[in-house]
This record gives sequence, structure tokens and C-alpha cells, in this order.
Amino acid sequence: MIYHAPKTLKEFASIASKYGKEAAIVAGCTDVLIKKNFFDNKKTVISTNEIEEIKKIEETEDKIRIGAGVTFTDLLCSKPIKKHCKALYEAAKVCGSVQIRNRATIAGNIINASPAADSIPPLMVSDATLILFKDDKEERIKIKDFFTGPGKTKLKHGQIVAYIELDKDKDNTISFYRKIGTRKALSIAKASVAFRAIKTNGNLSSVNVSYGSVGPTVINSVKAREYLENKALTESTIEEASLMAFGEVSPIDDVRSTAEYRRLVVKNVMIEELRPFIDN
Amino acid sequence: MSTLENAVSTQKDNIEITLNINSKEYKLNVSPTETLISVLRDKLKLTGTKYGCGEGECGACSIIMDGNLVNSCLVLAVQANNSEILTIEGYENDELIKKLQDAFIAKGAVQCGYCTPGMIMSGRALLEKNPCPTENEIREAISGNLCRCTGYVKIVEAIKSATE
Repeated sequence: MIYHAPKTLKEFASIASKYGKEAAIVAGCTDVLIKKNFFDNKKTVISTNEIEEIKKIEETEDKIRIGAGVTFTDLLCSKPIKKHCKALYEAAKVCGSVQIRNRATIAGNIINASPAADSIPPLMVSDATLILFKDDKEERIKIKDFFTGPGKTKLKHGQIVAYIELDKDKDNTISFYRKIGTRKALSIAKASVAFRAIKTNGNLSSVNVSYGSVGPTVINSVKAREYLENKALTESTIEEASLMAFGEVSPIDDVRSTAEYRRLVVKNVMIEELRPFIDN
Repeated sequence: MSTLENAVSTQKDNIEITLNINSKEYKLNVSPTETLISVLRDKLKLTGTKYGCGEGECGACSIIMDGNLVNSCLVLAVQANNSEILTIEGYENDELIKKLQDAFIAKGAVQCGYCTPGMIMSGRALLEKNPCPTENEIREAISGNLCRCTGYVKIVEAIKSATE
């Protein structure tokens, strides 16, 4: 087996297309080194860690562009993320541990495609776009259309997620990310909820809600989102939206939790996190 | 028996890397899928770094690489090429590790001792960035490390007293 550490996206593309599915592409390695068969039948390991152009967080007037190689620690240290991407910042805080956050990259978390991934729900509610590269060709795909199942995405062999672009929060954006797990650090979510909306004169617009660990992929809400659009947050609208959330998730029983508990958690998190946004 | 019994260890050591560990330079050959902990423990016999879960949950293998706390079980040795690494064996030349070691002994923060090197490295990473941490900051800093004997009270006290 050979090892490659390309320095540019262009160099990466030529190596990755040469090996196709026989390449094991790695970044922080915090997920792939746990998978027993990850290196089976591979001819090369390609590390993206030395590609400097994908380690930056860039800010334009209304967007934030995050390089694939940005770590969770980088996200936490970034002023633009803290200021303009609050839900993602909250997720970065509770992702893994200090040790994991120092290595794990945002694109790695996305490509791993776990329904419990911490970065995916906040990126979904921020309507993030993934910018993919293969053979010098750019392709853009909305993150909500990227996942096809647990651990499965539309990424092709030799293709890389190079950047993630998301809308900045506005002054009147309200948002949250909340994860329920069993341990303070390193917990894999039993359930998680991300929420983002614009609040003008008490009424919500551009509402987005997504749920983690309660389906084969992170789920993008339809019912709760549509219900809350153009409504004001009151005890009764929150109650109604939380019941819709309860109904539209499809959790399973597994080692981490039960389906029943997960539904309840999603409902209760909606109530608890939205209540502080009610106008007095 | 090797620390890591995974199939990948049968691969050829075909890449030369240079590691600066505790201010000493090492040149050695590794395979592309070999982990840093296997290099530290099996090849260099630096067995102060402990192997626990092998999946980043327990923190026993924590070391400092280029100033950042990492789980050495989740780092590929090739990716550590040319990096500066600090392990528990670096205590002789490191004031902070020495202070932490003394504090762990004084406060009785060690029972079986298996988590201790990792705890001290997490404390070391914290104190370098934040010389006067609050109790909450200490607890956050060691939240990626598990202790199954004493509990965390004495460990937190030890790290706190190392700052005094």
C-alpha cells in the first residue's frame, strides 16, 4: 500500500481519479480508524491533511465558506462561526472531546454520514451547500439532498467535499442545536434537534428544523417547519409544532436508546428550546 | 503481542517518517495504516502512553502533537510525520508535566494509574493555554478521559493545585 499526501486540490484530484475506489481517503481519521475494514482492498491511503486551501473559513457579505479540512476546534476558535453560524457553533461545542475536536474535520463528519453526526443538523437548517471536486470539475449539492442512508452519500469515487457554504445568521435569526446523550463528552446522540428561523415582528419565516439519530439519515422536517412558517411562537404553537416533530421522526430501538424515548426527547427539546423565544 | 491486533499491522513498513518526541529526534519506517500509538509503544517502547479502548473514548492514549491534545490511537503515524510530540515520558524536561505529576501524587489522584498519563497530558494541554482554569474548565478539559477507579474529584483537585 502506498501513501499520498497531496498539497493541492488539483494534485488530490489526479491521484484520487487514478485509484478510484481503491483509494482510502482520510483526514482526521477519528472515524475511519474505528472501522475495522476501512483499509481492506485499498491500494493507497490519501491524506487530505496537507491541502492548505481547504483549511480556511472565509466570510462574504451573506455567506460563510468552510474548508473541508477545518477541524471542530477551528470552528470553535472562529469568530465568524461564533457570530454568524450559532447552531453550528453549538454543535461543535458538544462534538466528541477535546482530543477528537482537535483532529476531526467537518467534511469527515459529513462524509461519514452518520444519522447522529453533530455537524449535519445545523448545516441542514442553515441550508448548506456542499462544493464537490473531481478531476477539476466543480459540482454543487444541497446537504439535504446528499445522504442516501446510514453511512451512504452521493459522493462518487475520487470526488472530494472541498468546501461547505452556508447562509450567515441575520440579526433576527433565532436558532439552537441540542443533543441528548449519555455522557458529557464523546456521547453519540440518542437524539438531536437543530432549529433556525427568522423572526420579524414576532412572526417566524424561513423556518428550518432537522432531527439527528431518529432515522436512517438526519431528517429534514416538513410538518413542523411548514406549521411554524408565518406563525408567532406561543405556548400553543410550540406545543403543536412539538407534536408534529414527535410524529415526523422515525427512530428505532438500539443500544443507545429506544424509539419511544427518542420521540419524547425530540418533542420535549422542541418545547424547552423554543420557549425562551416567546415574546412577552 | 502487539498493542493493536488489527490486520493492517501485517503491511510493509515502506514509509520513512521523522518524529520529534520529547525533544529527541527519531527516524523510523512505518506502514501507511499504522497508528501513532503502535509506533510509540511497540516500536519505540515508550509505554507510558497507555492503550485503552482504541477508539478515542477513554483518553488513556492522549499525547500532545504540535501543541494539540490528541488520541494517539486515532492518528496515523504517517500523518504525524515531522511533528513535535510530547508524551508522559517528557516529564523530565517539562515544568508543567512535573508540577502535575507532583500534584497527582500529593492529592492521591492515582489509584490503578492506568488513566493517569492521559489525565496528566490533558491537564498539561489545558494549563498551557489556560494557566488559571476554573473547576468547570478543568472538568471540560478532562471530559475526554475516563477514570474507573477513584472518580474525578481528586484528579480535578490535583490539576487545580498544580496551578497554585
